[in-house]
Amino acid sequence: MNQTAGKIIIDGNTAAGIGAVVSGVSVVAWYPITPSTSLVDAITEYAPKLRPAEDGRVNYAIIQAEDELAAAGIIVGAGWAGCRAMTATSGPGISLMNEFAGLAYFAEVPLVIWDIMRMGPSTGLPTRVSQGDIQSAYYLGHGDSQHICLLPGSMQECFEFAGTAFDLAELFQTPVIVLSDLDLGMNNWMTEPFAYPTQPLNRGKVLHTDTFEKFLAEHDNKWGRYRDIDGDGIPYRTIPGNQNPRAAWLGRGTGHNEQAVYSERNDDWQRNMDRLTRKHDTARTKVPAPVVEHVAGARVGIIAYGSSHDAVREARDMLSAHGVASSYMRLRALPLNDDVSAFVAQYDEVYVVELNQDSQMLQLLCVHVPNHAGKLRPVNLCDGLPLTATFVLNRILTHRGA
Amino acid sequence: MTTVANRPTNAIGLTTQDYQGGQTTLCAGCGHNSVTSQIIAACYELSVDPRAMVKMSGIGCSSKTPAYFLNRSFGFNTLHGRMPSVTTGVALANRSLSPIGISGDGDTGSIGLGQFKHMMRRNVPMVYIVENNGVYGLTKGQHSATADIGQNLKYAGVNELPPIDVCVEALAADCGFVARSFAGDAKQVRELIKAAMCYEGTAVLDIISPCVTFNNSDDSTKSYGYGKEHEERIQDITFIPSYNEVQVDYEPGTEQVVRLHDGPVIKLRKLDRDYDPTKRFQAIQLLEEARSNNVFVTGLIYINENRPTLQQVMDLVDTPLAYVPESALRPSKSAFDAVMAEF
Repeated sequence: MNQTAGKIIIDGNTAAGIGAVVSGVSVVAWYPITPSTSLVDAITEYAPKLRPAEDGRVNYAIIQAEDELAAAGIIVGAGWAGCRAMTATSGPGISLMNEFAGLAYFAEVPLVIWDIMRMGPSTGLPTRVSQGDIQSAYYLGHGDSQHICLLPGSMQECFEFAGTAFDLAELFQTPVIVLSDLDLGMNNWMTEPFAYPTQPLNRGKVLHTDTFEKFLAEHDNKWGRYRDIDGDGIPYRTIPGNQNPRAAWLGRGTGHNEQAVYSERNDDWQRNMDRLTRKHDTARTKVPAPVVEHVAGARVGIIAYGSSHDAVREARDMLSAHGVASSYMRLRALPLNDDVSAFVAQYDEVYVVELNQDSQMLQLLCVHVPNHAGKLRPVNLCDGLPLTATFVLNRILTHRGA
Repeated sequence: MTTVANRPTNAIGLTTQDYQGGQTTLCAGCGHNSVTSQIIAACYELSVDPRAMVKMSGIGCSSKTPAYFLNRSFGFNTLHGRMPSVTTGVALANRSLSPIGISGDGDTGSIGLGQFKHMMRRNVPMVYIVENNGVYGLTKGQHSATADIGQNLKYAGVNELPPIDVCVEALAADCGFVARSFAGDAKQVRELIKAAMCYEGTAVLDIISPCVTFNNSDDSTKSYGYGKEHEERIQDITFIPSYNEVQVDYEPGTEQVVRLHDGPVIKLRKLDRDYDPTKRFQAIQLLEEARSNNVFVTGLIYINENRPTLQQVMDLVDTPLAYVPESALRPSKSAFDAVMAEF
């Protein structure tokens, strides 16, 4: 079997755990929950091997919290103070992290949440796969908030997105939620070995003592924690330890002006919300782009994401055998971008494949491309089992009246 | 005319002005404002570098106060009842910082009780002040979980449930520094804050801080009138920083001296009772007796210097994790290859 030569067998949670350690995680706070526990187990196992202790002391902290509220609070504190901080959880934990996600979004604190999706609602089917947290993750928190979400679809992406998530969290100073699932996370998959990273960590717009002084000199001696200097919605951030007496600010979830000072002024509030929207729009261009395969002459497009990739690949071969050529776009992140609009515009029928009852991604697509919403057709399964190619094939053929 | 140059300065050359914050927006006469003043005084007198401090809070009247002191310190006004977890994260991220957290009786005794207990269990190094008035002020006068049986409020009526005692909860969680004071007793508050700031671990200060708007009738145990009438100090406390160490002298038998890790000394002059603050069981007994006798005892109720801090338990490097360079955050290529070879 030459096709397996040089490959490794690994599960997505282990890939993600190794990826996090390789990408500089230094605070992990978590509460055990199926199917995410093995992700933190992997960090616990591989951190000592990858970043060995010196004189018995380590440059990372892995802390089992008393619940998901505390786990989220700990990484908010650690992210605010300048660390790469993360947690891993699943649906019920995501529900508990709701309020902290809103605080981190609004106070603009970088952190990473891995949601290894299992079947909900409620306790649901804890040992069964689902893609049911798409919308609750994207809009996590009360009031208006939208989060960057990554959608790994392979072992390579579970590894690679661990680093991408930290880079994006620090670049955009915001929570990044990685939406893996039970099938990716807990099952063994064959893959190429992972590559040692060649790019440096992207720590974003952090001003330390020296760079803060340089910044002041270049900006008329003006600084405000929430000022949009560059027009991309992303402000400059200082962290505790900065020795400049002007660097300090008081973080808060309450209304604030550009100086991070409490404000109830309507213009301050509106300006800040507009900037957060602008920041989210900037993120559209920086998140992993969809992987698109256009097939000449195809009238059918298929959109899928995450662990459904292999079933879709097989289903497309079966569709071909039925004389139906299909193009394919695999989403890898939210927010959606122009590539998605172009893909939907190009095809007469677009099937959206996902593992949830309410066609959650299809709903997001309808909002993103309202003029083409009529082309979108659900291919959704929600019985707790992984997707099969036969299901995708039959659903598409049924839609087409074949 | 007084110029800045003429103001008295402390050992690191800062004036009290350098420890100030913004203007308070709390009610005139609020006990919390007195505590704020004593935090400023304690920091000035200890000559702490504001850049090494970090101010933390939850939500409530008390939690607004970090905006009113230490403008040169970073701070985070977090979520209701969740200051302990966020501070735990800050403490892990940067062990060189000294967190001071301000909470209230609702923030600690109700919504935040779980996080409060787990923070103490972990011994997260921080000063944790509860500004305790037995009432919800921001929402206009509901009973809190520390309200005494019989507390009578204008809108909420009579409280029928027994109070949660913040200090008893701290003792049960094996907190190593448990103190109680009264916002009207400025000197004791200040000395206890100084001692707490020099304690290595979680230091809890329960400060009865009357709410002049919603809970200050003399029959309330959280009022100024009651506090002045029923406060029983278990000792007079004097905090002596390490640079004054040579001045320490005391008469054995009447004073107890507790030496903290970095050298400073807490001098406790015993009052009418023979009380040893190093005995946890006695501390709980003291609080239970005080409750039965309708007094509230103030002073250093318990101290234990033997518990390791969270950072010590977790074997963290001395360099704050937030300042570990990329070269140390990334594994070596050889370590990475060795792990890949396991699969």
